[in-house]
Amino acid sequence: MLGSLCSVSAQSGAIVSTDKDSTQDIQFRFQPQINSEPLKLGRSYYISGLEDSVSIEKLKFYIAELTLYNAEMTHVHISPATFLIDMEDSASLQRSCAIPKGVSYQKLSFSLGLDSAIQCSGAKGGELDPTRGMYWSWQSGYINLKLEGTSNSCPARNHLIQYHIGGFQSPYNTRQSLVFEYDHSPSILITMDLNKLLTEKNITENFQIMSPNQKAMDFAKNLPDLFRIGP
Amino acid sequence: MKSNLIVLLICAFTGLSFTSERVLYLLYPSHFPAPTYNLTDNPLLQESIDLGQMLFYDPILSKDYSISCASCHSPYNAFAHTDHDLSHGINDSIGTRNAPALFNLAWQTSFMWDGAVNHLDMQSLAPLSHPSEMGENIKDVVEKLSNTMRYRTAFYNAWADSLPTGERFLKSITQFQLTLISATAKYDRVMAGNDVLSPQEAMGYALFKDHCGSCHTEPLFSSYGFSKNGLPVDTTLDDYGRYRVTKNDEDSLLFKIPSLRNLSYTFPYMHDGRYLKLNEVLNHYNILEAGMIDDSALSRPMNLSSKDKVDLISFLMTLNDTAFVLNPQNKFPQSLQMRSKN
Ligand code: HEC
Ligand code: HEC
Repeated sequence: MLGSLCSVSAQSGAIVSTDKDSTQDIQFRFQPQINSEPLKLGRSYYISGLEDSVSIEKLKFYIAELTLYNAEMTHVHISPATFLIDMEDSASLQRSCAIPKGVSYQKLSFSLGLDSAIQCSGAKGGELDPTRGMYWSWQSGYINLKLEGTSNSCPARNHLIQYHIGGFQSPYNTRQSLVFEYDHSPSILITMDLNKLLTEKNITENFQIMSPNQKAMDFAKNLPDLFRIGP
Repeated sequence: MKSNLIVLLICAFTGLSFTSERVLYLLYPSHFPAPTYNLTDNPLLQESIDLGQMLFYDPILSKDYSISCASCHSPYNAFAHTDHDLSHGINDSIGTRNAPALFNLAWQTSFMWDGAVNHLDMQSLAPLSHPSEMGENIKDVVEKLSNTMRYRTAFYNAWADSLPTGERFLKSITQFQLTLISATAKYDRVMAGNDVLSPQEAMGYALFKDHCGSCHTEPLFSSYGFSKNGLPVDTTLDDYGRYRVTKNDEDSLLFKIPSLRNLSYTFPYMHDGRYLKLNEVLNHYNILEAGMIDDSALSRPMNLSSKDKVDLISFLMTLNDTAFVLNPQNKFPQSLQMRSKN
């Protein structure tokens, strides 16, 4: 159900092609890392800045509007328009798509988190189904990013670190937009450097963020900094 | 088991398809505005309405199979929870708010006393997951339904696929709730020109328009917006209403304006069920001092006499929709009464 098989969606101002010969396949791989190694859930990592170990039990986030642009800023939307990256489902990290060939794409953009149109229009299925554990129950809204783990440095009960980052209404709109240069490669590695999150402050003070508020906003604003293209 | 299989086979042969003839529409009188729920995202089908009704009445939705939606929203009370000021959930736990009546939900754009829920589809997630309401979670409920033959059949009939999903589950409950339309009170007959208000009711109507109608707007008897109505905070609950959602100081003590239809069935009143009788409600409005609430019909004292109060209440009684409350179609569904082992 997850992974592969996506198509180019037609949009005004968009590059559209239906002809098989004029398309090329492009691959996206999302790779969360700790200490420059691919993240494995449940494994303990020593974080030197923290002088303690951390293990991540859960990492899920929504990517929306993944788009490629050429120099004229004409764009190709990669569908599905939104998808859930879930470390428990390795297929979800890898997405492929056919895009029009012979176009010199130069930029790549996506947003981390969902826009308010999705958040206000009722029940959704597939990767947006509330059974995916990314919808708050007591107040309407998706969780854009969920990260849970443990560290002895975390003063919470059972040392549990819990970030449920979401909120789509001003002043707590936590969705983030990211733009990168793109080097024409048919396979794109998008690295997420978790060390930048596992700071002393986040583990010992801000270890629990569970609703749309100022703390969630501050946390979300730092998220784009975690992502880069390439290893 | 066997009969269910036969049902499935027959469906396969007749090729159950979602043709437009099967799509139903909401019926409402011409003095009502158009509903705000977007039915194109969730086209009404009898089979999904039936499934939604089954779900609404089935305690399978709670952790210990003890509480259904109807436990707190009884059809005999216009789907409110009479006798209890605060709602009662699993393990006899007591909530923090009064269960509101459910009707004309197709016209509402926000839900809960503080508007925490922005779409009817998503509302069920709140009671389902609340530890003192049903104590479940949607993933496990969908799993329970997948393991129940009668639900697999019902999902197949409704969604042309026997697999329950969160989306289908939520949309089915929505469909049943959308059909709960209260539009057959005496007031509605009067609006349609088929009845007249008595002189006393007419005097009450004039008072209503003067003092109440700006918030409890006709014909739904709520603007479904938020406002203060001058109630002091119950310090045992510390409920500041809309503020909880927006964290904006200006929203402190704003609550969603409830409809005044079916008041004879929906007591006790207010978000915390603090008033048992309409007289107490009117006394509350009547003693509000000038300036306690700015910018609203409540900023000037009402000075209602005892006769005014009786007149006003007689008008409010014309909003009781007995036909809606007694409608057997909205009650405990046959499909649950006749259910076999599975
Ligand atoms: C334990 C009691 C309880 C149960 C069980 C329960 N509810 Fe409620 N319901 C409430 C209370 C209390 C509120 C108001 C909550 C608030 O304002 O925070 C409410 C609010 C609602 C509303 C919003 C109405 C409005 O006008 O804003 C709807 C719709 C609703 N419930 C439907 C359901 C459905 C569907 C179920 C079953 C899935 C259900 N309820 C189960 C107590 C309950
Ligand atoms: C400024 C807006 C406003 C005006 C004017 C107003 N109300 Fe209300 N009313 C509310 C709000 C808000 C609530 C819910 C308050 C709460 O639960 O904390 C409410 C609640 C009620 C309830 C309880 C209903 C229920 O289901 O719990 C009744 C009855 C009621 N009002 C009657 C009246 C009458 C009669 C008048 C005119 C005399 C009136 N209201 C004028 C805003 C208003």
